[in-house]
Amino acid sequence: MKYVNEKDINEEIKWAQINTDILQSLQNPRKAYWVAVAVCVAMLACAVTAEVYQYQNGLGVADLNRPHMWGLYIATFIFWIGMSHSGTLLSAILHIIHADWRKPIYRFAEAMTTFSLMTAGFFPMIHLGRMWNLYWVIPYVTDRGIWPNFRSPLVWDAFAITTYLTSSALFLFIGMIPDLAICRDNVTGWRKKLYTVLSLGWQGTDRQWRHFRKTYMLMACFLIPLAVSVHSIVSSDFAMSIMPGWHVTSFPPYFVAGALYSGCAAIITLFILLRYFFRLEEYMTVALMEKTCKLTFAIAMVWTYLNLVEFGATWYGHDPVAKEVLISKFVGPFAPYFWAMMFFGSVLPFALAFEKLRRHMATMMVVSILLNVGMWLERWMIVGPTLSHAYAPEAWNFLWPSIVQWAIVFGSFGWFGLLFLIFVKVFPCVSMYEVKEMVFHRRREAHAEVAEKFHRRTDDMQQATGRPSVEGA
Amino acid sequence: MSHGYLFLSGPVGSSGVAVPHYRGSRYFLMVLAAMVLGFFLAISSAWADGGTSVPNAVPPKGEHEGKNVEQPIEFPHNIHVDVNKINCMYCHTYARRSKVAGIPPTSKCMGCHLVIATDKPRIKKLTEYWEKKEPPRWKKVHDVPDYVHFTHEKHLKRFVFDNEGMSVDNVSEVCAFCHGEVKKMTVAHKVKPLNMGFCARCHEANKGPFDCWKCHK
Amino acid sequence: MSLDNILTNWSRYRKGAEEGGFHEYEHQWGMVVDLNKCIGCNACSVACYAENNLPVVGEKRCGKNQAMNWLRIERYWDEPDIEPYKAIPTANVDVWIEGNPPAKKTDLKPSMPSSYLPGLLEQGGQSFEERVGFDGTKSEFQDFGASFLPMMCQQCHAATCEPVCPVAATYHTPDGLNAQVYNRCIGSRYCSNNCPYRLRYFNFWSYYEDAWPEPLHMQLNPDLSVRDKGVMEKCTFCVQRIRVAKDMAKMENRKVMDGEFATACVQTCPTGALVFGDMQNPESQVSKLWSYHQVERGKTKQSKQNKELRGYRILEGLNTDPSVLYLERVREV
Repeated sequence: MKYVNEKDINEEIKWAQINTDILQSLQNPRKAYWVAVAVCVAMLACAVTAEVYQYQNGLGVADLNRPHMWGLYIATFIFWIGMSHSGTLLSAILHIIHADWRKPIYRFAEAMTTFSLMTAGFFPMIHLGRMWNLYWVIPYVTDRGIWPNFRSPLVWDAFAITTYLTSSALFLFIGMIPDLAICRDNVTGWRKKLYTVLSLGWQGTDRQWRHFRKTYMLMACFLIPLAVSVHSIVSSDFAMSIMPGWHVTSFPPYFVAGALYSGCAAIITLFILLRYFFRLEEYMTVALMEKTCKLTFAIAMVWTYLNLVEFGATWYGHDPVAKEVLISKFVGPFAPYFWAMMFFGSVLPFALAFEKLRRHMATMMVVSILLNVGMWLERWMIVGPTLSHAYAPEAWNFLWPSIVQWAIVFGSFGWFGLLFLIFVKVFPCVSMYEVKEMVFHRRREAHAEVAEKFHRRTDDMQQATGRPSVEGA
Repeated sequence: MSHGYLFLSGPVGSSGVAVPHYRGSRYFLMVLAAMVLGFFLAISSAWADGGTSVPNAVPPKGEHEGKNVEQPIEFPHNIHVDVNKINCMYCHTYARRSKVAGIPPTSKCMGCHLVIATDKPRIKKLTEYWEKKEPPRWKKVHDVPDYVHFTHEKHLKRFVFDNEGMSVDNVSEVCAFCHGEVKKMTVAHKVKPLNMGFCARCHEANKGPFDCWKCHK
Repeated sequence: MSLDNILTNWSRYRKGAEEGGFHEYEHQWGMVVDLNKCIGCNACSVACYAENNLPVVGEKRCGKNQAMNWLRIERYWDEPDIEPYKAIPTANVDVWIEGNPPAKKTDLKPSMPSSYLPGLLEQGGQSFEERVGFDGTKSEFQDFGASFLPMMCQQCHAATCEPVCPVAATYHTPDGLNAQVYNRCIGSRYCSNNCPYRLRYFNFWSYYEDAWPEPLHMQLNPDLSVRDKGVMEKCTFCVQRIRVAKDMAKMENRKVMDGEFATACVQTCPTGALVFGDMQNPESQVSKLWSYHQVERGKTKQSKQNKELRGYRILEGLNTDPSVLYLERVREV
């Protein structure tokens, strides 16, 4: 227990130092940055090529077939939607419960939310047979007098995702306004113009701060039920159907837990990358890493529990077909991926329970990536086995997704990476004003402790000498 | 039709009063509400029932400027229908008994034009075709996509034959619902949009069927 | 349907829903399939291809399960180790027509729908390789014990595909049919995923491009659309024929008579295993068969007085309320 007195952040750090340290992340990029951009663009190019090919030839090129009408596209869609939930967790939930350790790391998590939603939004389009008619799911007044089918979970999806994307982008932006003002005051050139517009005339007056706090709190309160409902709605894509293995009551909480889980794992990954590449060790401290890891571990256990609930309910339930789907997950052609998912999702997180491993960045990097591999597999294990083994035995089959599907899934990571890379160079990825707040509070707490000790000592002295003390009054 | 949309415009209109504190935004909202209301009123007035001499019918509304189609012979509908009062179904004889109205065979034209107006240039052209034993290749003017199955027969039954007080002599007015005033044209060209909104509005006004599979299959 | 229409019909819908179905049905088309009479000749399926502009997708796409057989004959095999088959040795039959190269092992699917349980994959104590042979010389199939199940869209009255379509491209018609509107479909494929019978087929490719080369395109049925890539389709109970029959009846101001028309599969079936008709007409052959077999609509479990009766509906326990009645096959074993 040698780390017990470790601090979340060095409370003696100067405020000007915070500005310089974080603004240096906006300086001209180094070579490594351009290499990363090139890799992301190359990945994205794979996806674009595959998508153009698929658009011209039909979904047959993705090797989808009759039972497997949905493939990796929907699985990856859920994955990215899930990823978006951690940003809300860190920035909104931890904000309203006043867990101030979130402050140095919530900004990039929030950006991750927005960008993973922007990635997720592509997948329903890519997967549509006639994507040029996508707008038909939006209710609009037309002289044809036809409306979308409001009973369909896919229509709810469209509402949920657009609402969530708008709100999380707004939340990200609002939370950034004071920082944008700092940027505005410290830069020249085109950035100056950009930040001037974006900071909306922020002067840091009392009145502005008051409004800002209110707005931010309001948005946080609005975002939490929204985030929970979004993934519940996504889960109802499955839970509302009658297919064995999908028609599960516990799906909404299961999806939300899985979402928070994969999001937290992604936060660990990005945490380490930013800490390393932008040399933000002062702010993204090992202590914060520990806290994030513990949070992830807790969520992993919730997810494992909900998994077991689902299996148990199916195993002891009265639906033989659902049970058969479950068995086919255990021993069928999906078995390797299923057990990989169980290992990465439920066993590997125990690495987070060990202090030594938690503090070893390279290990955590690998572990967090593998956790997300597990969570991606989980989404595939939701979509795939049910389709391959449902009621009609004529349509039982297993088909390996084609290279087109893999390319688009692969490329989606490139797209996300590209957006994120642009973000970290254009906007401060650590919230400067909130770090200052945190430092301020910590400093006061630390001094209060000192003062308290001092008081006690002076009281003792007072009792001993019978003289009142002047110091510490 | 129009009062259905009041459902939508109602809350938008009232929201103009709902924000008491900010003068600017109140005016903005009021202007917005007025615009929205005006938009719906404009739509509903555009859809209001128009008059026609066909009984028990509300003609569909909608304008469209179709391209002029060059036909092998510039057939003058106006002379046949407006001047000589020939019934549409005399030539488009399948309209009352099948999905398509049909283009008359050359023999039908020659039935009259062996003796009538044989010296006119168009009729000479027609006679050439007749002698070559080759039909003029008429081009389609009113076309709908292949997934739309329009039936002339049912529409004529509804608006002409089963329509009390409707004379078959006035059939061109019913045809004009979708084909415009062909009797004023020489070569017919499209003047009605013939899209789904056009069909749906008429079906709604005239209590036509609303089953998708009536037209799409 | 405009908002106006929805609001007007909503109360009707709500009221009807309490009474078990909101439609005032004009007809309720239904079908009876007598499995005793089915010989598995696939004529119905061929007729369906011809009638409904179904593309022949070719061997490769068929192997990927991308075929468009709206009416498929499912083939099931009796377990080879039940009494009467035990005595019969598996014969070596050259199943490959001369000139065709023997298929590779991977091209063959086990004829019996294999569960993923490993035990079931091996039939009759023989592994898949033993039964088929690496060079494809042995028969993939058993010599005895095949049974056939023609499966077409069950036209469920509580169809699972309908509520999930985001754009309402599939809906219930006043004829009691489960409609699919191709030009409204955006291809989200949720309906097919939610169909327990897996009877909805998706246009994964622009099949029409190579399904009907030059002179063959003249065979296309003009009464219904040719579908392009990206839309879902399924058996319609030959809605174009229904439409013609109804139109004719309407022009003559009468009702559609029983047996006046039939769907392509029913018309073609050489043994008369399929019967089609209006179930609202108590005099129709279909209604008589349904009532004879004591199968009722709107039930998840039939309470038959006579247990010997053969009628059943597939997966009716899911409360889909299908319109197709199957008459069980009876064997002398």
